[in-house]
Parts: sequence; C-alpha cells; structure tokens
Amino acid sequence: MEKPLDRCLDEVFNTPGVTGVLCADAQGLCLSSKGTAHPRAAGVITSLMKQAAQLEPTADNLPVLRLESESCNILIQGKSEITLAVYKTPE
Amino acid sequence: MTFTGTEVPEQTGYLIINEDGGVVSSGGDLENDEHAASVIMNMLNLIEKSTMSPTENKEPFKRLSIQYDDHLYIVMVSNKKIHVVKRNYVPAEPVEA
Repeated sequence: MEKPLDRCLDEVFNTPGVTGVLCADAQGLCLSSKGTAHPRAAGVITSLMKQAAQLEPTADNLPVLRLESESCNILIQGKSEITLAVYKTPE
Repeated sequence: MTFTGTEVPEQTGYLIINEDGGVVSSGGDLENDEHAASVIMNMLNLIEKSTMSPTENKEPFKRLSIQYDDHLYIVMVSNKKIHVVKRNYVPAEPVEA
C-alpha cells in the first residue's frame, strides 16, 4: 500500500543535495524515512508544523519551515494530514 | 544601540523576545504581537528539545525561516534574545537564456 509513497520519497531522496526525507501523519507517526532523517523526529516535525499553522491561522496555505545549521538545512511542509521534511546540505 | 527595525530590506515588522517569551521591543506589522511571540517561543522550545538533527550531527540550528506565499518570518537567537523579522518575499525572476 505504501509503495507509491515510497517511490515518491525515493524520487525526492535522489535529488542532488538531499541527504534525508521523512514523511509523518497528523498524529506525528513516521510513515517513511530515508537517509539522515531519523524516524524519531516525526513527532517533533508534526508538532512544529502545527505550531507554525497557528502563527497566521487565516492564511490560505501552511507555511514552509526552513531550519538552518552549518551542515544541514531541514525544509518542512504540511499538507492536509501529511507533513514532509527534506534534509539538505546547504547550498 | 537600539534596533529600529529599518536595517533589513523589504522588512515589514520585527520583534525582540527575551528568554521568558516577553516582548522586549517590536515594530511594524508585529508591534506588540504577543501571539506571534508565543507561537515562535513554542516552536523554538520544540526545536531545542528535539531529536530532529541528522543522526551523525548534533550541531545547533542557527536560523529558522517561516515562509508564506508572499512574506516570511526569519528567527535568530543572539545575546540570549530572540530576534524575529517579518519581510516581504519577492521571488527572483527566472533568468531567460
């Protein structure tokens, strides 16, 4: 059942610069993770997205979050029930 | 020196929050925006306690951006204070060959 999701995440994971991908459901459970993204991060990523949605509750779309450190950028986007995090090396 | 909130291009508002979540200084769209301060504090607390860093990497995050379609918030911590800048987001035009 999860094959289409896995295929989609594989496609993202194989993009140059991407080191990890994680997909979580609305309860913060990890649906799939690849590379440097650890499944235990699923809960925090979902909570972070829920907090961010409260910043501007009237906005049409959820924001994209970008967390930057010296060696890694994490991009997080939520869409309905799913939250996706992409781990990248800085450009 | 006081931050007047005019240093960042396309800036529309700013917030400076102390460690306890209190607004120290604010201006523009974010003037006295306690709600934004509280949401951002909650996010930073989550990040601080998180296990989100890649498995082999435990270094701290230096910047958080919250990006909407036409504007974004940039959050950084400096000197035990949280600096938040809200600015318009103008995507670069694609270069035609």
